[in-house]
Amino acid sequence: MKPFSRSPLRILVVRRPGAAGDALSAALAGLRHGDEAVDNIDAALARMQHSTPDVVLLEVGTGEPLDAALVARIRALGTASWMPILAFASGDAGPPGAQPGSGAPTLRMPRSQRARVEALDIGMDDHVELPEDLPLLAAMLARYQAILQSQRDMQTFGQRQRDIHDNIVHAVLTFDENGRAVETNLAARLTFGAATQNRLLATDLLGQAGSGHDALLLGGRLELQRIDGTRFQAEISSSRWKEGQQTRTTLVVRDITEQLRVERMRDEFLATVSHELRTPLTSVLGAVGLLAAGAAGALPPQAMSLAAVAQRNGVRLSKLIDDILDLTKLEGDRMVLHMRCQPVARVIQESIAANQGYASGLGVYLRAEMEPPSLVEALVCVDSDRMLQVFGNLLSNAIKHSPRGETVVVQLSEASDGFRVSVSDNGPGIAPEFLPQLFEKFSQEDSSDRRSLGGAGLGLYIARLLVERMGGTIEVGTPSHGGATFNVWLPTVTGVARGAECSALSSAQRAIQPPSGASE
Amino acid sequence: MSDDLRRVMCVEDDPDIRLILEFSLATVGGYEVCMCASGHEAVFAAQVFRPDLILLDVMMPGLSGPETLSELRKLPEIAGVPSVFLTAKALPGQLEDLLECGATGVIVKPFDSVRLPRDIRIYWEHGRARSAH
Repeated sequence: MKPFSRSPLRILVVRRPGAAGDALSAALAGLRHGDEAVDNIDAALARMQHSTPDVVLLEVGTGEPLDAALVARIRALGTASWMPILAFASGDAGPPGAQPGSGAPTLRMPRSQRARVEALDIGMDDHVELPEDLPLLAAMLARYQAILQSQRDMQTFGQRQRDIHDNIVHAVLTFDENGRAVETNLAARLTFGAATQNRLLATDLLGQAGSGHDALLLGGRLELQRIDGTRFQAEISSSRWKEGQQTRTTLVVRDITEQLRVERMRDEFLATVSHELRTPLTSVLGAVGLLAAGAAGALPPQAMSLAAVAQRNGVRLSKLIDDILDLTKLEGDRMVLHMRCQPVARVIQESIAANQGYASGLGVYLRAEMEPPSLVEALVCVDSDRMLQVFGNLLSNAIKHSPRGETVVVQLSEASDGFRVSVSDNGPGIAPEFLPQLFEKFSQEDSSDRRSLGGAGLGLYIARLLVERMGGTIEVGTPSHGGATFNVWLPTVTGVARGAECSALSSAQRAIQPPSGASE
Repeated sequence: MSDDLRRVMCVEDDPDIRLILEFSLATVGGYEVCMCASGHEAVFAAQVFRPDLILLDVMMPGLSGPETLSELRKLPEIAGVPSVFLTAKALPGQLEDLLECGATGVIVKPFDSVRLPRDIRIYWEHGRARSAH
């Protein structure tokens, strides 16, 4: 409430012409209120059709008798807010109200007080005698002004809340303990296809949700039904709160039909691109591989070296396609991981075996170490193919950067709440200024490096995203002896996960893993 | 079921990949091969050729790889024959779906054309062991 900025009251006065009425108008003007005078009830009612006053002052004896029905008619023309209606009698009017002997037995009280009781009885707010009660009227109007102002403030506040509610782009619905909707916003009406709030409130929204009441109140992704019976996919978040003794549940419902359509289109696009890129590459690599293997007759040495160039670069292109498709899936959160419990030592062993050929070709040794040896039993919950991809990336980087005759060491050790797998090489190491970008997209130490060793700078970025998706972390260490060390931390498997994964393991074991496609 | 892997049926719509497959499996691997350009062709040829193993592309016009396999499975003489899909591993979760179709294995494109004859033998042995149980 702002006591110094009260707006003047708009007062509708219904009075007989004459000196008393003029004095009232003058007094109201003196109080800085605006008054509009009419001389009969019908004129007042007609006026109220166009604009609602703040206060109505009715002179007793202006034609129609003042009764409850008339007061109700006046109130019906007002707004939802309270509108004070006062009766007044001027000195020259006769005694108002009921005749002696009618109605309840009256106590012995002054005529003016009796008139007030009668006014209140028929639904008016008070009765004053003019001109003697003019100071009382002024004080009452000041009071009404304050009350009406706070009423307006509340209405403004309520309207603002409703506007905010209606301007939330997602459907917001509030339910009571019995699962009945008690309040909805505009987006809820649009989402569910209801013309009005009442139509929506009258619908058993929770009952129509196929997955049931409780699932809906818990939130998540569900299929919901519109008023017209059509269904849509929704993402729901839910919160419970108290209104007095009542528990309310407010749901924010997001229609994700369009989002799912876009995701499906993107998956289909990815599938097409993947197919269209790999199909010609299959022919290229297949043909070159057969040529190089002498399947079409022994090649002269010079032709062999050319076939090897074609083969090497075909494989490189194939890896780049894999990386780009992986990246698209990871960044769009479309990568499906098949997490299951398995000994981390076995994953390490498999990745070493997969890279043994590459290492031998470059004259580099691979060695696995375990400290303590009991770690051979240590379990982690990972997607083994993707973990092989991560370790494979670290190993091939380490092999690539190792001088001939050196050894790349893969070490498994205990770490806080999990295990650490370190891949260390004795290569030239990583320039300190390059360390911050190491796990970023398209990061290469320099352009000449890209030419000499191959790669688009996606490997470590993908490795980081994969390790993070599997709940682990990856970082680069700074060994004192030179070279480079990459550490992958993987969390210990909790009891619950271990139980849950056992069933996944048995179903996954039915399928044998395909041999890797293009190997070097 | 035969006790050795001799006859391999390949279903692949891309003519160049068909050529590579034929070269790889017949010339390098020494298998007797039957090349089919579509699922319908395969269903027709399978009854005469009586393959020991079927190699199927996944994305093909007309009958897809999985559809072709389910048609072939309706033939009594083909029902227990091990099958391997060739895929450009396009959609997420596709590998699992393919194995759900009852295939013995999945080979990812681009494949190693020199190693392919050995790889399919591994799948054939696995499929034979599985159907023996």
